[in-house]
Amino acid sequence: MVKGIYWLIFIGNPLILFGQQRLSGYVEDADSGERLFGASVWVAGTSQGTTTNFYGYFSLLSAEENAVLKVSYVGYEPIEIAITDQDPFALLIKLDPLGDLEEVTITSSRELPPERQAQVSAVSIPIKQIQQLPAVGGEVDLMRGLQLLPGVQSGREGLTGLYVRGGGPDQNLILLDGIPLYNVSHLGGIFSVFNPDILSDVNLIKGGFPARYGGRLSSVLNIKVREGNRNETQTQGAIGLASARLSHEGPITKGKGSYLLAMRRSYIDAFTRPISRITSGGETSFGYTFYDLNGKINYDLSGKDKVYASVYTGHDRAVVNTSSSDDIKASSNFQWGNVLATARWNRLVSDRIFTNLSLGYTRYNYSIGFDQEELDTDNAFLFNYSSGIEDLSLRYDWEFYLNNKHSLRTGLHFTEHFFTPGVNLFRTQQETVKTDTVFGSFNVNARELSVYVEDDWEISKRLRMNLGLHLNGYHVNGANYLSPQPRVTASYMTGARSAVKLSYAQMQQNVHLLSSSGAGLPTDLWVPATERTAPQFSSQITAAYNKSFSGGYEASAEVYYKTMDNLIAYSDGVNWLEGAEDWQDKIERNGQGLSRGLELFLHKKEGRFTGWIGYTLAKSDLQFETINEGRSFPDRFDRRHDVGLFLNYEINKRVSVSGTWVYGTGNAITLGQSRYMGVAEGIPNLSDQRFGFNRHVEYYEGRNNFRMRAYHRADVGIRFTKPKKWGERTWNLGFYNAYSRANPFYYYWSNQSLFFFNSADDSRSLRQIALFPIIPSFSYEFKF
Amino acid sequence: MKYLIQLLLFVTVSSCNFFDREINLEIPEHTPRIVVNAIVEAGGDELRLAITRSLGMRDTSSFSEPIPNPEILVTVNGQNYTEFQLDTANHYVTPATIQTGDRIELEVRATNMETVFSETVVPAAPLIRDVKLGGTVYDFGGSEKREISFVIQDIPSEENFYLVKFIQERDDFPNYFGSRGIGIDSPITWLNYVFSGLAFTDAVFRNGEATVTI
Repeated sequence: MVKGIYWLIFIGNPLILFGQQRLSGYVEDADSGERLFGASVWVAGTSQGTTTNFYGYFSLLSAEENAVLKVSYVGYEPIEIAITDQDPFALLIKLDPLGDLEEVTITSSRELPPERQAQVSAVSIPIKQIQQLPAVGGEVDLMRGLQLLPGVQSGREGLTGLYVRGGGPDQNLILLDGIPLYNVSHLGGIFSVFNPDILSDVNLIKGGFPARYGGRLSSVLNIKVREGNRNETQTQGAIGLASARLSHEGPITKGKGSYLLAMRRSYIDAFTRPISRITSGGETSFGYTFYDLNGKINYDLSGKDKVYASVYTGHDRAVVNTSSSDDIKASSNFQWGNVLATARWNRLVSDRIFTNLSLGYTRYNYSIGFDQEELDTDNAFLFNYSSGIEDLSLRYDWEFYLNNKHSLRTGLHFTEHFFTPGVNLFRTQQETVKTDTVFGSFNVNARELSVYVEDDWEISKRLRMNLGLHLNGYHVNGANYLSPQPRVTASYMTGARSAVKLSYAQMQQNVHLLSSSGAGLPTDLWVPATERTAPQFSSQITAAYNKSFSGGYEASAEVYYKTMDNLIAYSDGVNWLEGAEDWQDKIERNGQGLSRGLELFLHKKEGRFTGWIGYTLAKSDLQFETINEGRSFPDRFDRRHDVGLFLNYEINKRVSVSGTWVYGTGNAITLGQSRYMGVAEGIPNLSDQRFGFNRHVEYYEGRNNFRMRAYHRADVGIRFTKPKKWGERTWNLGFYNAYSRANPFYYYWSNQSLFFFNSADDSRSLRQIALFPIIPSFSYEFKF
Repeated sequence: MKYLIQLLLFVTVSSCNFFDREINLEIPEHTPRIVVNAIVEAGGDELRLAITRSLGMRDTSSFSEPIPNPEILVTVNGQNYTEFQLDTANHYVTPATIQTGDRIELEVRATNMETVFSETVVPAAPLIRDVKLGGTVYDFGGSEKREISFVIQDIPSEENFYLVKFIQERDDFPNYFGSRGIGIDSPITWLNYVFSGLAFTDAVFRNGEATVTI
């Protein structure tokens, strides 16, 4: 059944040349006016087609007279549009969202969009599927959903970091409306910074990176924020156990623009402060809180010009206040946060040339502080350590839809980086003597300029290639790094809906993340490549087979082989916090990484029953000349087998259930295999059984030489939705770790004192710390 | 409400022993190895060795049990010493005169254990040219630290290792010299907060002379 409306806007002479006509325009949500990214647009009965770009625009040539254009998008009713000779060539196509239980009618005559994408290793997850994930603490989380995909790991228990194909959390280019975010974690990584109510599209690329992307080695996570409803105002929100959120959106001159405002705040401190005061007899109070604020506006200046502006700020703060009986007040605090802003201008230079000019700003910083005040004297003390990174960027992208054989993209991207890797501030006041000093500040300014060109080339009906070159120049402290990065992807269609693909991509990364724990914590240090520390570099080859089936099924099998060079790591024994010297004196350089694997994926996006299952077989190793005696060793988060499962079933219009299950063979850890007596204060008297201040030394056969127990966990959720006179409400009940599996967080030896007594009977056992048992949660969501 | 309470009880009960528990991880059987601890310094009149064995991680045997009847060969500038006696401290001892520059080679054998070898050259005591007390700073925890600067004359043509200790004779442990409640930390790479001394190599020096501040 054909539904939908189409609008034709006359903006110039139609292009009908040599029997071909150009069809171009926008695809948007019929209800909200939201532009749809990645919608399939094709000429019925042919393989001529394309997908909409990030801003919902498409352009293609049709050789058919009286062509019928078909448009489809996950979660929407597909439509057909008959194009006549007299029709103008700029279209505004509106798709109606499917109802919750509706599935696209499958008939024998239903034509599915042809496999058009040369892109390999890419996953697009409908936002609706993200919103159906079981909630943790009442919050559905995008990053937690991504960790269920093949090739993507979480690293540590409970944390939202992404470890993609053996890469670290710093190697992911996470773009929020096109601007990079450096840290995406709240509460030490248990939640991410992404408010689920404001997300529009999520696309993850793990390999075969198109030339338009650069700057990170392992993945590109492209997150688009909703633009807001262009037709009517809407408010939605939720109240959960740990946090609450609220968003409001509406039109700016109905149909021409819109705005979206959203906020989220946790109230964990409302519980922790009184509890900590009671348990400490009033001496100590502990509070933790985080918030996110998002804002976006967009407006159509004309049929050709559209402007957007969006901002984001988020912050975490943990504070411990103590006041002792001898009139000393002290406070320790740990805080971190992001600020992001972007302004964009889309212009349709012609029906075949689409441009985007973006100005962006992003900042991440954290600080750790301690201050103490003696109430009956003038004595005071303050110490603060802070670190941060700030980028100012300008980007100009062009999309040329030349003909059905070639679609060109080219662009220029300039970034000015401001790094403050670590600054110590120290102030004291003792009676009349004051000290105020700053040390350890090794600020670095760097700039980089990237130019890229990319051609999506249809060589034949079956063979398609995406050829590109990303050229990056990076300048810092008088040193220049020039990196031409070839990107090639080839796709050969083995059937109407199946293809084999092969890709090769080189990537360079001009920033490093120094991690003291490997867990992607906020205390990890973002540092620049410098004249002494080269940028990271990777090469990745991927081969894939993709197939789409009727009923909304997509399947893929991929193998990849990735090498990484110029990795850095803290030297053994380094304390990242202490000391005033340059971070470059605390690290090992020239590390190499090798990661390879097989990924299998089956995804169903539409219908009453949706979900996916993914399996990964992978191996990831590192090698540094001065670590582990130069021998290769497993990466900390090397997991041989990994399974991620997500299922959602809509029982009826009001009730749906969902569940996830994740399994991974154990992470690598370093455990001592033997121990012996070491000399501490002269050779001890071995016959004296009374005492022995002698250090025992643990001997390690190698780094990451053991495997922890396997990790597996199931989360379940159930949603009860009910329409009300004022709108709609949903009760969301969830269970994290539903069968309460004690997953290992770390191991330690009991009775693990460095000093031992000469007597025997020193029993020892290996013990495990686990973090999260079954955790029930609920939230109340509303929309009107 | 009844079901909610039952659920909370289940969560509470199932959380007992959840967070911290013993596990059985297969660790390869450890074959004990000979461990030799010895300190030689110029002016010494004996060679004193503590010869013990290594233990597996779960082995509850004593560290201080000396290996019985090991075969010991120590060579000092080519002169062999093989007659070691076990003294009351369970050390293997033999008289010997040790001087700066002596080349010492060590070999120890024991039944069913892998033979160990070691060698060293007795270094000269470092020449301390100057020591100064500096100002007071505070660490992150608010503890007071005193700055001490000392100037050492290094020998540039060889690799040297240094150990810095603060020593006082302890009333509570006679004949025992050690730091008492004094910790040392340093901006040098081998950063450590220790009571027993700060070790570093001459890689931190330039031009054979440097001031190291701790």
